[in-house]
Amino acid sequence: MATQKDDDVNFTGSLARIGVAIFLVFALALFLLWRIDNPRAERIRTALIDRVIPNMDWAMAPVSKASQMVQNFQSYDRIYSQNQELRRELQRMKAWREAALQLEQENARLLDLNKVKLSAKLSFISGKVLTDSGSRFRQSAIINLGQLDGVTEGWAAMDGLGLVGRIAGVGKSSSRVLFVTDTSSSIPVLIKPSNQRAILSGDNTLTPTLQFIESYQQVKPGDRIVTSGDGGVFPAELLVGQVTLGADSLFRAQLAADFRRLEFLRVIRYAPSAPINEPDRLIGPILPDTFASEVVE
Amino acid sequence: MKQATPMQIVGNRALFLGLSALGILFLLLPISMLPDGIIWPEITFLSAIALVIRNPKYVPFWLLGFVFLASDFLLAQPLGLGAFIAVLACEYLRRNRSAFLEMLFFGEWFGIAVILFIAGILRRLLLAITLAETVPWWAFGMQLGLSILCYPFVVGVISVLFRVSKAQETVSHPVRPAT
Repeated sequence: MATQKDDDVNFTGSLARIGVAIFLVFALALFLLWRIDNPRAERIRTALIDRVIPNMDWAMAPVSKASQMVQNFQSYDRIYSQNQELRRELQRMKAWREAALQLEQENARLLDLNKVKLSAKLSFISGKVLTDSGSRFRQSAIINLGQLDGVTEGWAAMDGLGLVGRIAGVGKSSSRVLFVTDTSSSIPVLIKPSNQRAILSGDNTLTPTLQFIESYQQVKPGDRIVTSGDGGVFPAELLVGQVTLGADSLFRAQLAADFRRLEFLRVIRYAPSAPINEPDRLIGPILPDTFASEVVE
Repeated sequence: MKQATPMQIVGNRALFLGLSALGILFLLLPISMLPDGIIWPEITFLSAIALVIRNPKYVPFWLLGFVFLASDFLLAQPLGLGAFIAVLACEYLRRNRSAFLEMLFFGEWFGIAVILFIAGILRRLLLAITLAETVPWWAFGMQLGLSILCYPFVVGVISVLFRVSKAQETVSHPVRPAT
């Protein structure tokens, strides 16, 4: 085919050949950069996504609305049975509410007796899910919160009930939430009644595995899983889910978050308390030097 | 060959860009966050291949590079790797286009299947050499199989949308060379 082309085509052809070679070298270099200096490459990616995705919101809106409408419509034909079910559940919940109120009062009394100070640092911002990762083997989403909202890498994201993932990659007005189901996600957790520590690591299934449990005998299916706060990245005591025994006889986590309907995410603001390094500054305000010397005299 | 007018070329390039953007947008839609999603065939890659054989002017290398680089960035893929392999495969096809033009469709299909297989293996190889994470083999095989199966459909859609066919190119060439 190339032999039949005219002279001017040949000229542009050789130009194109050089261009192709340059592009291939560039793409390979980009790939190597991604491998060698991953954080930097991911920052470039985040910056680019931050430019593109929030501007595509208008394009996303109608299609994602339509898909939600289809889902909602499917639920209409079950509405009567659902209603009945909800009534029954409400009855049960009322009983639980009573129990919870009593427990709350009791808890308040006990806390008062103990003079426990609760951390006031936990607050949250809610964001909307813009896109998912676009790949079957990457479990993440882009949300519409970013640096401008004060989001910081490593913060926890929840769906109101359970842990969904953590922030990995922050742009100006968007950031990526890496789900706990992703293979590169591992989170220190605590299995509740027995206080066993474990690592929750994702494996592209809806039930991430629980690894490095100290004593397997003390863990039973049905136990509650919460974050342990080890490592200082996550706040402690965020609900993750329940222990189940997988078909492969591994302990897995049945997540409390509903991954089917993730429209909004809650990002937990968290500033870990500063480590205490200097014991002499522990008590009393820090005095300016002149004062301090006077006090010493 | 019915020479494509400059307007047609620009229009079809824009059409290719638009379709690829639509494809990326579709993959990005937050329809389900469950991890057991569907494995999609590589539609953009397939349509680029089909176009490069039928009318290479509609898909210059810079357009392919831009599209595949963008999809690498937006779809959380290894940066640059998808673009490298896609452009490499398409440029190989562009150089050896005449061989594919002369083939019957089944021959072309087989040839494309081999190229898709080599491209997939090359991708895995590069990821393995750099000790990066690769998808499991079953998923690799499934995507490859789906892509190969989808090729005839993609060719059909492409021929209608871009008004290209192999017959236009091969039959009329000796009679009226391109000017």
